[in-house]
Amino acid sequence: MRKRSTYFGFGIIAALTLLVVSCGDPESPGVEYMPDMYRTPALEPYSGNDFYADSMEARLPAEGTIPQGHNYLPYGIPETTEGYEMAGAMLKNPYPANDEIIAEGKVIYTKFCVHCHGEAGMGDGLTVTAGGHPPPPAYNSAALKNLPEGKMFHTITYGKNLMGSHASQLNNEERWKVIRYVQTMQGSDDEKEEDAEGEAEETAEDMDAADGETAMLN
Amino acid sequence: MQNNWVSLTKKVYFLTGLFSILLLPFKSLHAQSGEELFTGNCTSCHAVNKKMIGPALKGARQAWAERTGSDEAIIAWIKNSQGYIKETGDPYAVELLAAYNGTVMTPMALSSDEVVSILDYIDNWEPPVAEAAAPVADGDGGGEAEGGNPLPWIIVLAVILFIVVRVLVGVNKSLENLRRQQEGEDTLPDVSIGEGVKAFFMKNQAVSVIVIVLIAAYLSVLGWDSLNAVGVYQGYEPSQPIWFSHKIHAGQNGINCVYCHNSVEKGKSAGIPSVNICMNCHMGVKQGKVTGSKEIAKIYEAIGWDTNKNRYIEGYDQKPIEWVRIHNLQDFVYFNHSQHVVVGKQDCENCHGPVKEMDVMYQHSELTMGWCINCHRETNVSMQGNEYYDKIHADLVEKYKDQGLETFTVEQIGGLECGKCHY
Repeated sequence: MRKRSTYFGFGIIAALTLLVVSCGDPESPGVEYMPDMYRTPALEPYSGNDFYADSMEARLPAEGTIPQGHNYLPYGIPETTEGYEMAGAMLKNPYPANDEIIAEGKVIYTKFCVHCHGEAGMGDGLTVTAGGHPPPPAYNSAALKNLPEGKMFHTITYGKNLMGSHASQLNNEERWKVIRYVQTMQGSDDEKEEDAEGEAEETAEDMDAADGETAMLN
Repeated sequence: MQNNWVSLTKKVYFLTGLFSILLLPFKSLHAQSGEELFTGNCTSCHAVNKKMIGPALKGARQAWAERTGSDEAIIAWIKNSQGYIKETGDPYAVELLAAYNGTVMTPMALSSDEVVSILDYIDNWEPPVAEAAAPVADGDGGGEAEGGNPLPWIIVLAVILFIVVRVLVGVNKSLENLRRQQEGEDTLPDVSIGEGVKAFFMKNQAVSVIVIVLIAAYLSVLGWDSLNAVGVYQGYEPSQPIWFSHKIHAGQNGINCVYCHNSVEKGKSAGIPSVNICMNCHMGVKQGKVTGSKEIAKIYEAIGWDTNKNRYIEGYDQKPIEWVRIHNLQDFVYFNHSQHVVVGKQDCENCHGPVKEMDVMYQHSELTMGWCINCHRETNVSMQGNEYYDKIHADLVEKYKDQGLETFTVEQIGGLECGKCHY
């Protein structure tokens, strides 16, 4: 009799082990022992928050606020054709076109632009050649060759045509830095760039004075 | 004198003729083809056969020619749409502009010939046959057949082997009985399988000891592994609300991880892209390679994008997409993405595995403390060119003078201290 119960116990252990081991269901995170610390009452990013009607935790900053410690004034130029022209005429890049800034711009470019605009800015990135996205115009095409930097900033901020707004991904500094790199692929006709550098800071201050709404860096 | 003039004019004619002939091939070299002009100037707003930001272009030339009698009007309209409206006040153009949300087409720096070659290209354009005919693969993304679970086959094999053994044993027994009958001995008694096995083990005690030890060892390993797997999500591969493939986006289309997970360099969490980032491409891409328009439609549903009018629906009640979280650390451990990616210079793949090959995302690494610690023991901190580490590096060189170390692991700068992650 004792022998039989030993066998019986042995069998139960085996069955339990198999039960635990065989949880190969990819839909389940597996066995948890006291998962309190995985699912905490403290809110985590994206965990959902019933305080909001749609429970969505990822929210936009309250309107009219700016982050502490930054000089990100709201971009005041409107998203219109006139605004586009205005940006082209008014905005100047606060960063000089030196190797360091261009290298930083290139890093940003390879993360945020290259998959559509392509390695050399010819509008032949992988999303175009492999993904079937309509190609953007090349930076050195007749239409974009002499595009002023202010219009580029405006376009990155609001998007243009099939390009969406990249304001949520790139802050002002990053936008201006990547523009410095894009300009190296433009093959622009005018050689005014050297002059523009010297003026950049000055112009930026003027602009802030002229239009407090305009987002510029100090 | 007369003769000289004639010969001079002849020479001029000859030279001009020669130059024109020489220049002929260059002219064709310099004039871009209609296709090049089309992709360089038009595709960021237009497609030939479908509405994008602006109208589909197939048939536009014919419609304009029918109305105005020639190509001139459409050429002027394409070159400078605002100028055309101002000049002519053409009600058709005004209406067209209004139908596309008043989105003004940028004046185009194109010559009339170039506009004509674009129009010719559009007239001759045929939908790519292979693409149109390509069947849309199954919506689940397939991949079920690959690999697969070998367990059913093992069971089938075991059953077949068992039957074969039973038959052979039975045959053996019948033959033995036949021999015994012929020799006048007692036939073998009928024994059940259980009794037979029991008798075998009672007779061969060494074998039974080995078998018991083997079974015990096997169960111990299984038990140990299963206890180790408690609370470890490795391999967790839940279905997501949208069949999103990292293989297509990050792999084939070469989109950098940071493009979508853009807070990875700035904050603790890598960030789940908001829908406007999906829309940066999916304003233009409306058909998926695997799932057709079924899954992409869910993005439009979430953000409120009118696919007919190609614009966001005003006042739309946007719905969050509830992605299922896969990688999750307990609340008592602090992990910061920016620290590891920016300062630590870790590639995403080091922890998240071959994401560029994953159709469905799963957890590649264990994400246990042992796993963290191992990496902190083995990984060198890249201190060069990082001002913050200048003094620390000098101090460490001094401290490990006797070992002559120049590079230091995370452990050596205190990366194993409890309070670094648990506080």
